[in-house]
Amino acid sequence: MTVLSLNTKQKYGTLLAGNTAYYPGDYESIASVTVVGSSTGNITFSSIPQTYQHLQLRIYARTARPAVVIDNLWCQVNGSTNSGEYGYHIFYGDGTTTSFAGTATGSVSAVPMGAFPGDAANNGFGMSVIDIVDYTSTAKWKHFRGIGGFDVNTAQTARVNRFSWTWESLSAITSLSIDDQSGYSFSAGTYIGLYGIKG
Amino acid sequence: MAVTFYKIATVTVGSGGASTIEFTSIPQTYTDLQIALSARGTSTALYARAEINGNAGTNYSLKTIYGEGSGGTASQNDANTTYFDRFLMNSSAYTANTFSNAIMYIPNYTSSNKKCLMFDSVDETNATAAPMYMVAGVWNQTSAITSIKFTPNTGNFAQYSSATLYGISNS
Repeated sequence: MTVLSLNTKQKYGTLLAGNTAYYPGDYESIASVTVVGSSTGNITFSSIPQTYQHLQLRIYARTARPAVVIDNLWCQVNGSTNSGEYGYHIFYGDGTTTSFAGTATGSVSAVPMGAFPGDAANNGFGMSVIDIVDYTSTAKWKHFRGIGGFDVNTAQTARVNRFSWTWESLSAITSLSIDDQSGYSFSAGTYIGLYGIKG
Repeated sequence: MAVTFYKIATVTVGSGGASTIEFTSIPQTYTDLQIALSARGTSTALYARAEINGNAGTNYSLKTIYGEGSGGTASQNDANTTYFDRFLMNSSAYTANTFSNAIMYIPNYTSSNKKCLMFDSVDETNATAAPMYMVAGVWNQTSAITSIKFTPNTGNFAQYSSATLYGISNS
């Protein structure tokens, strides 16, 4: 088919008619949740498309925990609460000391997504970025790698985290549910985005 | 809004394994490069080595901060080596079906400056201890980066190991 440009009167062999082809890129937003107004309980991404190579979670959050400043978010995959499927390791510092903690499977029914401030932080927020490689592979346990933390301008009531964990399953990841470790809600202003990265 | 993140190439290791994973003829049209790596070895390899532009000279230096569970936390200097080391991968002795999770970020890879980069890698093997490494390094050369090759420090990459090279544009 021949296309005639109305501007140049030139004939082209395709509908692009001399324009550069649009390419949408290989990093796409799948879904995001922003907490507006009152607090929200757990945040779940379900029916995750199986069309990407990797996933990335970007978390900007504060919890409704009233008194303790350091709070932890945890994640469950595909709705599983089976402690035999989760293992994790954390390497962190608080400005004075560094520590390492971790466990094989059997002791936790969810895994860490980083440390965040409670509402006592007075408008402070924490963040984490988590990369999940080959999340649709049926040959691999799913391996999460994250980094994040927060500072509220107070000595040793903040933390920088590097964390790693596995969901020990060969099933593709179809849902991720993020919650406060102690059951507190997410405060208004919290934002969690799920991104797909093509391969 | 401009699109700025593009896949350049993906390598997935097939049955029988592979001695290297290599990206060649890297386009010079992006601002930065990023590589996502999920790797396991066929032997006792604990690291994948990265070599740039086939350069085997003593042009690679890096600083590592790491935690290893029972080994505590520490920092290490590797100066004037012949490749970037410390890129964690799971050995064949690790629990079946476990692979490392790693990323390498190389800003300004076409510039005529020496090339700084960072990489970040973690292992899991269903144990109390597991290593986590964060590395900042420099390839002490001014050539544009046109190829990157990963090689296990012993043995081969196991089947299903994968690496994806991305280009990032600043406009």
